[in-house]
Amino acid sequence: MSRIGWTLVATVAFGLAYSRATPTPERARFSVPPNAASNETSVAAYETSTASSGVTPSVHSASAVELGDGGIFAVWYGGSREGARDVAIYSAIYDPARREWSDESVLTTRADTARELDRTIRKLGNPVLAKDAAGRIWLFYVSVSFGGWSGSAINVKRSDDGARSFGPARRLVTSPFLNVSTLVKGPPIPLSDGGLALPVYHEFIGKFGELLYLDAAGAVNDKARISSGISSLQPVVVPADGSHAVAFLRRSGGSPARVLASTTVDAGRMWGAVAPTSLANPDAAIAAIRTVAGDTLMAFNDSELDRGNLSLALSPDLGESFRVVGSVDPPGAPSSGGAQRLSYPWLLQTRDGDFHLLYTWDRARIEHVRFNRAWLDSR
Amino acid sequence: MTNVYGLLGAGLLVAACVKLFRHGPSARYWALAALVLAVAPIQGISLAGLVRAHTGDLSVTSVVLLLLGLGGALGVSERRAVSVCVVGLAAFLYPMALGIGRFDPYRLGYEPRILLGGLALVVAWSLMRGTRALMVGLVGAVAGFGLGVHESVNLWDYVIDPWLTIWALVQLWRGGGADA
Repeated sequence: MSRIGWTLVATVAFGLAYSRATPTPERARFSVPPNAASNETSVAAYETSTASSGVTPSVHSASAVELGDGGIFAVWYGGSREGARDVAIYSAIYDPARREWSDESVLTTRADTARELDRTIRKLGNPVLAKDAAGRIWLFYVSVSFGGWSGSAINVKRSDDGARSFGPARRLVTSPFLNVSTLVKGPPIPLSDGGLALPVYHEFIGKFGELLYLDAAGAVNDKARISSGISSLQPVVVPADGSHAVAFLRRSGGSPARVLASTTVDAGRMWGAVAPTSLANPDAAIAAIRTVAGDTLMAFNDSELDRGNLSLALSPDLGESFRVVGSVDPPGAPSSGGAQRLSYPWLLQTRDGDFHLLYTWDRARIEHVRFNRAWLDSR
Repeated sequence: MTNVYGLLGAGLLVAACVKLFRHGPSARYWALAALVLAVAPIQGISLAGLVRAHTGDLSVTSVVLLLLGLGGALGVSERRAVSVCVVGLAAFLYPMALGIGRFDPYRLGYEPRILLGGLALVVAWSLMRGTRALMVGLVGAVAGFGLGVHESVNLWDYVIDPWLTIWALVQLWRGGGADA
């Protein structure tokens, strides 16, 4: 082909790419419901139940969303042990009126994911749920084709029928280096354009947090770095309004042994320096949400050394200060005889004002704590 | 379409490996046979699916260069020009994308007008210099991005990948003079 011919071909190619690259006119902001008084009773309420039903000996990393009928749809991964080939994503539904969980069932398996993605998959890991502005439920979960968790990539499934069924898995590409080492743990934040902001983290060479921006179709259209370096993981983003938010991060490796925090004033595109909060962190996952009253509720291990307790704390000022409310009651002594481990909390406030905390107990059960604002205020 | 592209790229990689060990006129027929066998599913998963799980999806530039290489149309000076460009891009992209500092150049690939402008300059330069493989590779990458053939929506993933970077480093280390 002549030089003129190649010039024409290149012009068409760049024109095509440029038309695809044209940005949306306005950057999406966080979608935050206005503060509201809780409509619940003033009588303190606190109760516990178990979400998992013992189908698998090992369970971990629960996530949950409220369904349209007020039920709670929860997922976690379970199998013979973490990282085993039989690990699958399990789900169960909580009926708030009857105060009981359904039997758990398999939502997707390693083989399902391999078939849907047209590639081999070695193991499945952390699942995260989100409900978008259109009421669709998104399941993000990690899978590994080779190596350890640092080889993770994120997959996404979507349900358009209230979690009764999910479509096939699709791979999110989030890193230029073989697309490895991006994981999920924190809840996605709805965006003003109908999309989601998904907190993710990397743990290959560096350990740091990022925020992925997904459009309403679930395609990544931007990302921002929350932290950098080798000592912060698993960001949880709590928005105050459309622009302001704080990201709380699990500290990993470096001192001090505190929950870390960073703030943004432009809906997450730029983040400030990471600084320690007043809350302890033993290198363990945290959960945090913005309550309907506008303050921040966090679940965390109140220790610099271990995961032996799981505590709750309230902050009226986006993490500048905290009041530790107290610890949740674990279900009993672990069957292993060792020290108990309460880990990977997930917080949710449902439309009736109640709070729901899911967490992993001793890697054997997904425990559920339901409490209300009056209980928090009475502590 | 993205899964077809991903499997095709992995299949071409298998074909290129086979061609490395076959010489003479029959080599390209062996490579073609390897490509067909690699993408054919056996009990739901193909060899290309297995390779793809470990390599990730190749960039369009890599796929174009594999096609040129399998067709015997990748000369020494062509390889050198491609390698210099790829290593330069990789040196800019990978260290910061893997977590060094707060700036992430990978982000430029999501709304890539600036990146497209830079690539247009490189394509114009290669057109004037007659380094056709570099030009065809980059134009292929840009066209692939426009058509959305890769499962990524980030332009960087169409232009460069770690395997291409390793190949480019080897080419530069060998002085670009050895046969592909």
